[in-house]
Amino acid sequence: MEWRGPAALVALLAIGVGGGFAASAQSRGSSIGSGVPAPVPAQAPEMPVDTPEPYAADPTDPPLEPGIPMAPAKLGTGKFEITFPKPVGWSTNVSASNEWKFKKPGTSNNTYVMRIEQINSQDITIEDAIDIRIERLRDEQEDVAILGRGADSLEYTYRSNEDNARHSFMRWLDLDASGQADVEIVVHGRERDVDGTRDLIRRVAEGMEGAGGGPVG
Amino acid sequence: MLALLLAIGVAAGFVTSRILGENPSGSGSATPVPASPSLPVDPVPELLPDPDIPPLATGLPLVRQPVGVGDFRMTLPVPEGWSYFENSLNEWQWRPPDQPDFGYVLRVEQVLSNRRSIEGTLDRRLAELREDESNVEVIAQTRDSLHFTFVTANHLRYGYLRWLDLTGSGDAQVEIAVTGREVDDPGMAELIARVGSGVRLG
Repeated sequence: MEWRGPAALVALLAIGVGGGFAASAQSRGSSIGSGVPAPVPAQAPEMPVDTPEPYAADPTDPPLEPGIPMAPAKLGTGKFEITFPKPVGWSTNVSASNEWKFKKPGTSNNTYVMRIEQINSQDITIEDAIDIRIERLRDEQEDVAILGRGADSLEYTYRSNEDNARHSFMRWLDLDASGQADVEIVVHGRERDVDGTRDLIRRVAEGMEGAGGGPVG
Repeated sequence: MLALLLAIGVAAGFVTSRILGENPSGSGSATPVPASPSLPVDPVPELLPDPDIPPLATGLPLVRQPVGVGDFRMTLPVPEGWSYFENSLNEWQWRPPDQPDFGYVLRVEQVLSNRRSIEGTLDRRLAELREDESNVEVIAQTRDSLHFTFVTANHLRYGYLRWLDLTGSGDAQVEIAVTGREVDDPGMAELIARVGSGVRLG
């Protein structure tokens, strides 16, 4: 019987070695490996992506509503005078000899604003004016998304220089049927202003006329 | 008879060989050959004679004229006695009275509402010229000016363009253009320099 003890020890040793080896094999996922390190393909995503930047919080001013009261107004002089319906009570700021901005007094920055520009000196068609605008938007602004393009209109969203999400509408008018764009209208606003800004630019564009109801330029 | 048939055969064979030799069928696969010129260019149109009026003189007497309104009013020196035209609220033109077409003309435009740098304005203007006119050739270009020729309505025209940033805004605010005939070129160069250096706000 003397041989049984050593035999049992040998058996236990064998079991221990086997168990230890198995346990080691199980946990070998992070082994240091061997050979020369080499890059491995990245997984999900393969290319670096920018984390979407959050937008700045919009001002809490009430949204621009559709159907606001409008009254006839004039811009320009002589044969370059145009008439159009202007929101009652909005202020006019002259930003160039041929450009005006309109805003409801007391509203915060980055709410809603309208700009009208006489662009007949540029001698371009409406189609070219839209192409140029889209090219510039993509060159100069962030997060530009063209939501709609018509024969004389553009709707888009973009990130403003102050990081606000903006939703804009543009219209171009050829008031004298010359084939050239005479007037460019833009209304910028927040997402919550869209019903009002869409209604505003439609009413202004549809109500705009050249001097005496005739041609501009 | 045999000799005749042989002769006819020889003749027919000779002619057939000649015809095929003039229009060889070639061998191998067809490959493109280099075009000449390698890029498409406007064909040079037939040019019509320029109007027979004296060249634009240098040293013309100039007078100051206001244009624009409000904060955007500016004054500039323009040739005395030239006719003045308002092209739009922000664009004005001067030319000698009773001058025939295709003479020389001065045009000034406020372009600040475009909100473009002078470099961007120059690039855009050159692209427009190439799109709208034919045979556009740039003679000289600087950071804020362009000297070029083009053909319009079968007339060779010489042009100068110059842009000003009067307030250091970083954008082009005023565009000055002088266009004329080849014989007017020296006078045009001098005129645009004098007008460009004399534009003042207010």
